[in-house]
Amino acid sequence: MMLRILLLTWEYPPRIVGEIAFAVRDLSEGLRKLGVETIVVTLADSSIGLGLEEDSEDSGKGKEKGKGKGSLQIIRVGNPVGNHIHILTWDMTLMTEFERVSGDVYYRYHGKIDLVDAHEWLCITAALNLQNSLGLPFVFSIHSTELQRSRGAREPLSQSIRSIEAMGLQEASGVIVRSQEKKTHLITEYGVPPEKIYVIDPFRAEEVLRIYSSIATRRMEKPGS
Amino acid sequence: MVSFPEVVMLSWEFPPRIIGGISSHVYNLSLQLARLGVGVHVVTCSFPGAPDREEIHGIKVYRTDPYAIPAPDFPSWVFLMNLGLQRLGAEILRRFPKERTIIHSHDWLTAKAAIGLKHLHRCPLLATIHSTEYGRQRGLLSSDENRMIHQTEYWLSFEAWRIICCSLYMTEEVRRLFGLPEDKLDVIPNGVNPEDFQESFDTRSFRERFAKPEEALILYVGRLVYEKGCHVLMEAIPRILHHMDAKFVFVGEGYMRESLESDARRRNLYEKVFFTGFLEGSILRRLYRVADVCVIPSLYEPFGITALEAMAAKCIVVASATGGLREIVEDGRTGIGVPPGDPEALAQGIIRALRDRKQNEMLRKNAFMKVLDRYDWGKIAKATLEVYRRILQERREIPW
Repeated sequence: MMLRILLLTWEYPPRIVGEIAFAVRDLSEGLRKLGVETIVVTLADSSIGLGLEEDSEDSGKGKEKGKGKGSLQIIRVGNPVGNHIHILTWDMTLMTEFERVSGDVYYRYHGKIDLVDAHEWLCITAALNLQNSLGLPFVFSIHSTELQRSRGAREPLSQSIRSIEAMGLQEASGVIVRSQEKKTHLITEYGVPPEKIYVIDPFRAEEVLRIYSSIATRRMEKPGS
Repeated sequence: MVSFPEVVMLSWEFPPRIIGGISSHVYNLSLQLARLGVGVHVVTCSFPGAPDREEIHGIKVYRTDPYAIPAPDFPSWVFLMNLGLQRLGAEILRRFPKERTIIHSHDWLTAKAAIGLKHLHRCPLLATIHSTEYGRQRGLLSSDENRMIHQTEYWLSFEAWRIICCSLYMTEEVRRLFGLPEDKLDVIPNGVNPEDFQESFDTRSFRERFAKPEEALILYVGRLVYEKGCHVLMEAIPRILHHMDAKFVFVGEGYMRESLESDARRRNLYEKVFFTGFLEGSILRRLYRVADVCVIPSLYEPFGITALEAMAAKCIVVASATGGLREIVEDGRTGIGVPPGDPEALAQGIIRALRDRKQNEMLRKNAFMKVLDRYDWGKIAKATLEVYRRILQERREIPW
């Protein structure tokens, strides 16, 4: 079964904030090689600007779609609201823009999107809204949690982010982490059921695809989906 | 067969949750739209004691917990509260065919959910802009928070298929601020229910709770904040008392209350000024009925609902000739207009209203007729339904 996946990430080369940019790039390119139609929705970088980049590594590969080969599209968007008071409000308006372009992709493919993979808490609200409105299941890929980053700090902003993470963990069809230690952390600190968490280090495309396929198949088998 | 639209009405307040004027606006509009046959689904914030789902006179109400995710500040709270609104909105929109469904958002407070729903469900979005951050801040967008709200309003106005403003003044302000084409905007006023002001009660004993029989009762209703010009009225009081005996009743709360009270003490006016704080609606409606004059000294007023309430209660209005107030209070015809921010002119306007009894009868009559003619909720709902129909027709004619 050839899958079509929406990958949501706030960083993707050339926009590099931390290591998520490289992890998602390697994953998306690996998925393309495995025959997956991958659509990355990310934040625009000033050096590239807004717009759509298709089959980034091999121009013209789009022609091979008919042969069952994968493809990679990168859609870069800006934040519709320029001024913000902190990262939370910045993220909230950016995610609505992610929803706008994801909605366009969904309708362009007549609803034939199999799964959404949201990287980090920043993309969770968009994934949730795509699930609620369009019935798309999502995977939550966690690189680190707010509890780890803030070292247990209880500032109000940190508590908001933790609550968003908890909401995403509860509603995701699957959670991908990179270490057994992180899995234990999610079970003990966030109460995530162990069977929902997959450990893959690094995010190897073959193994990630296996998880995507299993969730997408479950969705297709579910009555009324 | 004419099919009626289904509307998902997004509002951060709806009775019994009342914070500002949007609650009453959305309730009255929804009530009349439901009577016309529109399927009205109000999506709003929860309130202690109010059920999560209920039907009120044909309005289907859905409430979400606005504190489900803790927020560090008010703007974050607004955006996080929108997640709950959007979830409920999606649930409703999935049940109805797109070709007769519309999303109606009230102010920037529900912009995030409205825009998200628009794109995920491909349903047209209509926005009512009640006031702007630029206007509320009197043109000073000095903090990141102010600028963020202003830009969110721009975003909403850009994404909306059409925009409704409650006055010509607001239409012009919104058009100019956000660079919108003129034909994207509709003027549909706010409304009032005159029958709410017809209750019979012992007016004499009620009035005596606020003023002596020999004192003229002069009423101010509104938040005690700078933009409402309550300090201008305070400045005008000694000039009025020089000519006649009067009691000035300030209804409302706000950050200026303390300074106004100390100002009254300093001027030795304490016996002539009464700060009531917030008053329940039924008491306020009676107060309009027994007051001799209702004063609206606003410096900024997008619409001026207080003027309508006073006019519906047949109370003479003396108002600043500013913003939306100018359209309601026509000087010498439906009330008395004075230049904003001018205590002497305000004092003269109030004195004129109290002395000229012959003119007063004419003003009362004209004002009440204007309320019946232009500010009736039934007419307002019909005009809004026309906008819904126009949008849905246009939507059918073009690809998304």
